[in-house]
Amino acid sequence: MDRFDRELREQLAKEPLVRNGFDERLRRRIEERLGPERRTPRKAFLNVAGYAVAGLLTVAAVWIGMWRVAEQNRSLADEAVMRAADTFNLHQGTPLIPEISTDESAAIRSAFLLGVRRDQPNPEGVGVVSQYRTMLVAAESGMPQVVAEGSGILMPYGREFWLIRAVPDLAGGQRLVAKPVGRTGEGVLQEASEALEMPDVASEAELAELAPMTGEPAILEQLLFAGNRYVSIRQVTWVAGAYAAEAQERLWVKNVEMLRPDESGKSGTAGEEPHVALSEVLPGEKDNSGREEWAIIREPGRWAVRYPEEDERTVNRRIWRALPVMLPSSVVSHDRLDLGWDQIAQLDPLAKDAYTSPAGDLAALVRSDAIRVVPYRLPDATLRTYTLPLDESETIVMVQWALDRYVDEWKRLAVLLLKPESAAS
Amino acid sequence: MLESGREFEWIGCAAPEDAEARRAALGELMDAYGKDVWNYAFSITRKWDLADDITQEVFFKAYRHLHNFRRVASVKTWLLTITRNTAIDFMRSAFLRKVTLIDHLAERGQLRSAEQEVIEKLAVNETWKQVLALPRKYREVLILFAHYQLSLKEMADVLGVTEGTVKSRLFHARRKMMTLKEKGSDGPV
Repeated sequence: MDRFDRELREQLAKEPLVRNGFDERLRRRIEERLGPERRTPRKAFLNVAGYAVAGLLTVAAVWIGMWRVAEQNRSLADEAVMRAADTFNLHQGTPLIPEISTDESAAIRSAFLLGVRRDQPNPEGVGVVSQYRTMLVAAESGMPQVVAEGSGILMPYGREFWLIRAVPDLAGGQRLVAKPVGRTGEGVLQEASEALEMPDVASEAELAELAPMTGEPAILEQLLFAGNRYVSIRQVTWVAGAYAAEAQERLWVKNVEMLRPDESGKSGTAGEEPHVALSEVLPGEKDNSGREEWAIIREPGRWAVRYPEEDERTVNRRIWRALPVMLPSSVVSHDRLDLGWDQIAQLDPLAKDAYTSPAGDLAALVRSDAIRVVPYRLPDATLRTYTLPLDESETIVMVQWALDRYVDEWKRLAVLLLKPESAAS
Repeated sequence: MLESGREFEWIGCAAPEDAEARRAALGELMDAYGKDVWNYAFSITRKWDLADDITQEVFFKAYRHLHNFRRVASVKTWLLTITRNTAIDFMRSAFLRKVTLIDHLAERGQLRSAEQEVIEKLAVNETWKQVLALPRKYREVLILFAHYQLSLKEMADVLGVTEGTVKSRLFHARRKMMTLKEKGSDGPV
C-alpha cells in the first residue's frame, strides 16, 4: 500500500460527519415501524400498566402525535419519498391477486446475457453514434448479480458466441461488425484476440473492408435487436455536406454472419444490402412478399415486427406499421412472460417492460433508469432483488437466457470474452 | 468500522415466530452496524433525511430476513449491499428524479445545495469533504476501500460490478483525489 492510500485510510477511518446520523431518534423510528410487539422502555411501562388496551392506544396516540410534531419540519419531498418507498414495498404487505407462488426450496436456475445500446448525437454529422455493452447476470451465492461485463454485444449463436462491435469508418460513419469469438466446450477462439482487446476500434483489415468509395455516403448503423441468429439494424446514410433532411433511413434484419466485416461493407442500393426478407422468417404469412425491409423492435413484454409504408399524405416520410404476428422461435427463442402485468406492477410499480426466464424463476423488470432482477419464486425475493443501473440513454437490444448446466459454461466464457470497461470510459 | 460478521451468526438462529428474539437480534445489529449503514447511505445520497429513510428501510428489510443470516458469507457486505440497493431505489423514485436535476446543477457548481452546506459545516475533515464532493461512482468505491476497508471482491459484490471495474474506478478516484489535494494545497478548492 503506498503512502497516499495509507493517508487516505487514516483520514477516512473516522466517521464522515461530526454529528451522529444514527441517533436514538432514528433507532426509535425503526423500532416503531416493527409494530406493537417491541420490547422497549415504553413497552416496559405498558407491562406495568397491565397491557391495558386503552393504555396502549393512548400511548400509541401520544407517540403518533409526538412524531407528527417532530416531523413537521420534514419536507414534502421526504413524505413523497416515503410514499414512493411504501408503494415500492407494496408486496411486503397484502399482495395483489394473482399471488406469485413461492417455493422455499427453489434455487435460481437461470442466467441471462443482457445487451444494451447507448446513443449520443453524432459529432461528425447527422443521427446518433452508439456504444454497446453486454452483461451476464447470474446468481452468485444465491444473489443475482452481474458476473461479467464488457464492450460490444456478445451474442450466443448456436454453439458459438459472436461479438458485435460498432466501429467508426473512415467516412465519419459507424458500422456494425461481428465475428465469432468463443465456442462452448472450447473457449476463446484464437483469431478473436484483436477484437476482444479493442472492441471499439476497427482493425486495419476491417477499415479496408469498411472504407466507402470516394463520394459514397457515410453510413451510421444502430442495432435494434440481437438474438439467436438474427440482428435488426437501422441504417442512416448521408453524404457529407448534405442537409440532415436528405439523410436516408433503412431498416434491415440480417443473419449475424452478414455482419462479418467483408459482408458489412458491401452496402449500396437496397438490393445489394445483405439482408433477410420477412418472407424468409414468416413464410406462411400473407402479404409478406416484397417486404425486404422490416425491423424487430421492443414493445412492452414482447419483440414485435414493424414494416415501412410510404403514405401518400406524407411524401418522403415512411410510416412504420405494426405487423400483428408472433415471431418464430428461430428469431426469438423465448418471448413469453411468465408473469401478468398486475404481478409485475406488484413486484415493481415503476417497471415499464419485463423479461422472464423460460424456467420461470427470474424476472428482469425494466425501469427507465434501471433493471431490477427479481428471483420471484423465492420467499425472500425482495432481499435478493438486484438493481442494475441503466443510463437513460441506454436501450435493451438483447436478452438471451441460459438454464441449468449452460449457466456455468456461459459464466466461464463470458468472463473470458467480456472485457471490463476500459480505463478511458 | 464494520467488523467480521462471524459473531453475529447466532442472529440467524432467531426463529421466525419468536418476535422477542428477532427484536433482540435486530437491536444487536443496530448497535453494531447502525452508524455504518447510515454513513454509507449518507455517503451515497449526501442527504440527511434520505439517509434516515434508507437506514430505516435497511433494518426493516434485515429484520424481515434475519433467517437468511446463515446463508450470507459476511454480514457487513450483506448490509452494505442492501443499503446501496435501497439508496439507489430511493434516489430513483419518481419524485426524486425531479430533485436530481437541481442536484446535478449543484454538482456542477451552478447552485449551492443545502446538502453541500451540511457537508461543509459537518464534515469531520477536509479529506471527507473532498471525497463527498466526488461523483458517486468514485466516492463510493473510495469509501468502501478506505473507510469500510473491504477487499476487492467485497467491493465488487457490494457495487455489483467486476473486480476489474472496481480497480479501474479506484484508479480514477485516487487520481481525482490527488488532483483535489494538489489544488487544495494551492488554495481553496
